[in-house]
Amino acid sequence: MDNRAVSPHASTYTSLIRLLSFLGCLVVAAAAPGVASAMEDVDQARNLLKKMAVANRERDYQGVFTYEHAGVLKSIRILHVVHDGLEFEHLLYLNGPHKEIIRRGIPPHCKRKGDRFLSGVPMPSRHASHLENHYELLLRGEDRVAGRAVKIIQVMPKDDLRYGYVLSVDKQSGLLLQSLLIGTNRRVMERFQYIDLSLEPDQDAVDELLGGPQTVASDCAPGTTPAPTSWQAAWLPPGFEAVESSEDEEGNVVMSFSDGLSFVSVFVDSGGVIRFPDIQAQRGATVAQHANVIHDQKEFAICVVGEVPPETAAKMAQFVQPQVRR
Amino acid sequence: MAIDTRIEETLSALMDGEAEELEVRRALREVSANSDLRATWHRYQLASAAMKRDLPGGIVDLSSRIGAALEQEAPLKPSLSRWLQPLGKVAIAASVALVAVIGVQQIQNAGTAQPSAEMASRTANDSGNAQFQFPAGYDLPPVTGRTVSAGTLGHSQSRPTVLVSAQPIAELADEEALRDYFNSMMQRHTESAARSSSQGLMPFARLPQGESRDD
Repeated sequence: MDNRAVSPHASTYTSLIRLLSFLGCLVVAAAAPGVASAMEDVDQARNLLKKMAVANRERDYQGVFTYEHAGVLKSIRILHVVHDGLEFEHLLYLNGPHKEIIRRGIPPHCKRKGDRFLSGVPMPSRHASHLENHYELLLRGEDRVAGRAVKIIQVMPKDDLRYGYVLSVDKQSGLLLQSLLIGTNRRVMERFQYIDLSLEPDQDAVDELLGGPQTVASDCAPGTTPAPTSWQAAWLPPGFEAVESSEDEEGNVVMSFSDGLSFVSVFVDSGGVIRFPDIQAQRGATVAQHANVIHDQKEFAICVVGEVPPETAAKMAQFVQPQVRR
Repeated sequence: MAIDTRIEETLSALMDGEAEELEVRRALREVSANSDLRATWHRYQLASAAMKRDLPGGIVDLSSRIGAALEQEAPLKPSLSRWLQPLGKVAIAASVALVAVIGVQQIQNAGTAQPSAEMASRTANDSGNAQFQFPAGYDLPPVTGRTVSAGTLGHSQSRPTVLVSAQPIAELADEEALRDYFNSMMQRHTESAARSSSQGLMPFARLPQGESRDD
């Protein structure tokens, strides 16, 4: 908690200095009212993020959003309903081959890890880290998305190890209506944007979603501590925490890490290794780094995948190591 | 001949200030005895001076005029060869870095759009033009304006994957196998990340289409 009480002030002053240099303002006296409003802005941005983390789970909503990257535009119809404390979701892809994702009856403890992070609950780890240690929050005024008034939050990374975001949050509901991912060269790499949103879903669609057989969310373990695995990521960008990990009988390991906004998965493949050279692939904002490691005279294929700069993925892959047995 | 080539390499490295002392000594010895090499060294110096616009008098500097002429030239639509050429040069010069573009499109609907054109348009769009507007004072670059033509809209699963490898392409494994591998890895990542995301359900949109995996 101490941590959080200090950092907002620090970031307020840096943002203030930035603001002043942008405006070319030389009068120091003018800073006094600026301090107050900049502080309010950061507070407001932080509260909006918390509100957003709760809203996307607890609200009923229905709409269509688009996803755009590298010249490709997709649209998806979405329905989210909360019934008896359980979440129901239906996503229908409107382009290309028919594809839908239906999840019925997601229990409350299956809270998304990112939401938990944003709502102020620290990640399960030794050191509680917070978004604002690694990102700067700036309130960027108001706009309209999908015909609704939004507030814009710019989330700027404090280092080159992660991407930045511009999030437009619905003023009324707190739902995220637009999300831009900003690359290291300050370029927009992908964009999610609602084009239509209703907070009162169509009753027929709701009945249909609620009426279907329950799907068990198998990937949602009630525990908060990731299980120990025989491999570890010895280097993580600061602020990244393990959110999930699993290992099967053959020794294939999956680990995922997040700093609250960005996610990285690490796959360690033990058997039937496909012989690729160390290679990196990129699609939109997603980068995948493949690397081969020999351990105990056995070959392992490592793949680090995430929405992070290519250098971050490459360095992570370099430091995926077998766990030291004690 | 082989010695000459090696010495030339040393001279080139020397120009860049990257030659090793031992090599330099040998090169100097050879150059003093070999007029061809002296001519080479002369050419390198001239080239370097020309690039720095520091040519000695008596030699006509065309670079500014060529530059001006190029400025006026209408931009050409980049063709496949134009994009491959610089890559080829880099590969020969450095023999290390290599970039290959693999488009699903290329295989599934050849002729609709070349991956090189995709890449070219993406690169060209870095400077970008505004696609939508932010409130005044918004400190962001304009969103790159990408033309989403009706032709590519229908094939939205065809997303180019850029591969970067430290090895020459000849040693790369089967491209299709690589693409499948990365596709499946990205899909696994996206599924788990979308479920943990703080951005609602939107990251589910990153899932590649074609493979239907409901749950």
